[in-house]
Amino acid sequence: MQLVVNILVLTALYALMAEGFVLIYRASKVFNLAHGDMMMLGGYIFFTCLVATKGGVSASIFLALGAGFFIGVAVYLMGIRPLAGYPAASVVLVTVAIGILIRSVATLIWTAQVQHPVHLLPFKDTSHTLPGGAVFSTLDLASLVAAVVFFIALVLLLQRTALGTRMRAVAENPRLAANSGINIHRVIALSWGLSCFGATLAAVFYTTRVNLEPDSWLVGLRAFAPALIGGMNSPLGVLPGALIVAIVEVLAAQYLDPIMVNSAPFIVLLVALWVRPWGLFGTREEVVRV
Amino acid sequence: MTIRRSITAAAIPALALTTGAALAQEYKIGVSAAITGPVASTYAPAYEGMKVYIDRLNERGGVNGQQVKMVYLDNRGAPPRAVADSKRLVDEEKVIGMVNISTSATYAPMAADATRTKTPLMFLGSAVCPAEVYPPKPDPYQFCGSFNMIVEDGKAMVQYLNESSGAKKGKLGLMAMDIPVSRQGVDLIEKLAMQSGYEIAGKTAVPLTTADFTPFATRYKDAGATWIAHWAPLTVGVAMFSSLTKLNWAGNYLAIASPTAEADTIKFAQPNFHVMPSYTFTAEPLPVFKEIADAGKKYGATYGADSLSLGWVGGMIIEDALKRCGRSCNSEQFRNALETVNVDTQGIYGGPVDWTKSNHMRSTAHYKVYRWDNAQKKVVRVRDWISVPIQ
Repeated sequence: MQLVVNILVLTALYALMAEGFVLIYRASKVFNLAHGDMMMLGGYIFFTCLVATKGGVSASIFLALGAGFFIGVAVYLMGIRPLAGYPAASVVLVTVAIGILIRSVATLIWTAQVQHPVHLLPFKDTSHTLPGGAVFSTLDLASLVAAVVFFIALVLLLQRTALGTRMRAVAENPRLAANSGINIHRVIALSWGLSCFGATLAAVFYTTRVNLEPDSWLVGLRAFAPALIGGMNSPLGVLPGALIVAIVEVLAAQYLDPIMVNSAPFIVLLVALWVRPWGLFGTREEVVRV
Repeated sequence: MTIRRSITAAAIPALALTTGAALAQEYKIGVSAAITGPVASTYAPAYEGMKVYIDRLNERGGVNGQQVKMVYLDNRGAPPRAVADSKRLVDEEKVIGMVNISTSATYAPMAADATRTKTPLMFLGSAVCPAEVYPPKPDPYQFCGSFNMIVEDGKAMVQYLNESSGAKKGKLGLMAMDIPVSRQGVDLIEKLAMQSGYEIAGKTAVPLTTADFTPFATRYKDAGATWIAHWAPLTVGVAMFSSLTKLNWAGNYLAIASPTAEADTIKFAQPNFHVMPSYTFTAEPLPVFKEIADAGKKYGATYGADSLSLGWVGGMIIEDALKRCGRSCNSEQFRNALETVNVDTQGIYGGPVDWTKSNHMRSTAHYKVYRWDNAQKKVVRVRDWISVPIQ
C-alpha cells in the first residue's frame, strides 16, 4: 500500500514537470532543455516570496506562479522568437544557453547554499495514515490535488475555449493557423508561459519536500523521460508516462539496487521508443517548425 | 654623457630596489575551488572562510611584513577545469603553493602538477583528505588540513553508535550519495559496524537527481532500521530524514557533518537527527567565532560564521606556514615549512593541525556530536570530542 502512495505522489510531481516539455514542443517543435532551469528559477521565486511574506504560503504560490508564467513568456519573446525559421537544432542550443544563464543568475542572486523552504512554511507537514497502514503527508496530498486541478484546467482550456482551439490549431499546422489569422507567436508565447507555470507549480512541491539549490535543475530535466514515453505532442500522454516512470523508480528503489533508480526510467524510455518512436500516446508527425 | 651615465647609475639600483621590493612584498598562493557549480554548497563556504581570513590578514599587515596574494580560480568541481587551473597556477602565476577546495575528482591533475613543479598542494576547508597524506610515508607535496577524513569519520561514527546502542545492537541502515567518495565512506562504516555486531538493514546510494526520497525511506523502514548512518552531504540527509519522519519512522539518524551542518540542524530542528562534525559548532561560544562573524560581515561573506570556520582554519594554516617560511620563500622552502606547521585552531578543531615529515594530515582527528533539543530550542552537544588517532 505504501508503494502505491509513493507511486502516486511521484507521478504527480513528474506529470507537472513533464507537461512543460510537451506544451512547448507542441507549440514550437522545440525541445526546451532549459525547462529544468526554469523550474529551479520558479522554486527560488517561491522561496523568496516565502521569505518576503514571512511564510505567507498562498501569496507566495500565487506570486511565484504569476512570475513563472511571465518568465516563460519572456523567454520565448526574447530568446526564441527571434530565431523563428531557423533550424530546430539551433533553437535547442539556445535553450541550453538560456539554461546556463538562468543557473548563473540564480547562483549570483541566491548563492549555492542549499535552502529548505519547508522550514518557512507556517504549518508542520504532518503525516496521515490510511487504513492499510500507508502514510502520506499534507504536502504529498497537496501535490496530488494540485496536479489533478492543473490537468483538469488544462483539458478545459484546450478543449472548451477559443484560445485552446487556437493552441491546438497552431500545434497541428502552424502555417495554416497563421494563414487563418491566428497570431501564432502570441499562442506560442502563451504555451511557454503555461509550461513555466507548471514547472513552478512542480517546484513548489519539490522544494518543500526535498530542497532547493541551483543544481535542482537536474531534477526538472529528468522529467523528459515521462514526456517522451507519453508522446511529445500529447498533453495527456504525460500522465501515463509519469505513472510508468514512477512505478519503475519506486520499485527499483524498493527491490533493486538504488542506483537503478537513475537508469531504470531511461531503460523503459528506450524500450518505449523502440516500440513507438513517437511515444505511447503521441502521433506520427511531420515536423514543421515556425 | 656624464649626465646620462649619472642617470643610469642612479636608475639601476633604484630599479633593482623597486623590483626587489615588489617581489618581497607578497607571497603568492593559488586556489582552485568549487566556488560555483553543482557541488558549490559543500565547498563555497570554505573558500569564503579562507578568503575572509586572508583579507583580514592582509589588512593587518600580512605575514612577515608581506602581503599574501591569493589567486582564486573556480573549478566548479570539474576535473578539466582543475587541469587548466593547476597549469595556470604553477606555470603562469608561479605560485609557491596551491590549495584545493573541491571534489576528489579534481585532485589528480593538481597533484601531478604539484609533483612536476615541486609546488606543495594543500587540501583545505571541506576537501576530503586523500590517502596520499596519511602517515607514515605521505606524498612529499600533498598536505591536508580539511575536516573531512573518510577513515577516521567512519571509526568515530561506529564508536558513537556503539556508545549509544550499548550491548543491544540494533539494525543499521547505511546512506550514501551516488558519488565514489560517499560510497567509499559508507562501505567503511558497513565493515566496521558489522565487526561491532550490527545487522545491516538497507544500504542505499541515492542518485544526485532524486525527485522524492520517500521510496528510499520506505526501504529502510521496511527493513526495520533502528539507526541510519549517513556519509554524504548533509542536505541529502535532511531530505531523507524528512521522508523517514513522514513515514512515522522512530529511529535515530547519525550524519557526518558538511560545512553548513549547523544551520541545517537548526532549521531542521529534529531531536533524533544527530550530526557529527570534526569541528565545533558556533552553538558553543568560542571567542574565535565572534572574530569570524565580525570578519565575515566586514569582508562581505555570504555565509555565517558556522559555515566559514573551516575555511578560516585553512587561512590559519597558510599564515603559520608562511611565518615559518620567512620573508624569502620559494615553493621548496614553503613545502619544508609545511612539514613544521603546528596550528592551534582555537577550539575549532579538537586538537592542533600538526604536520610533520611523516604525517601530512595531523596526529589525531576529533569529533563531536550535536542534535536539536526541543526543550532548549537550540542545537546542543550530546558528545564531547571523540578522539581517533590517525594512523
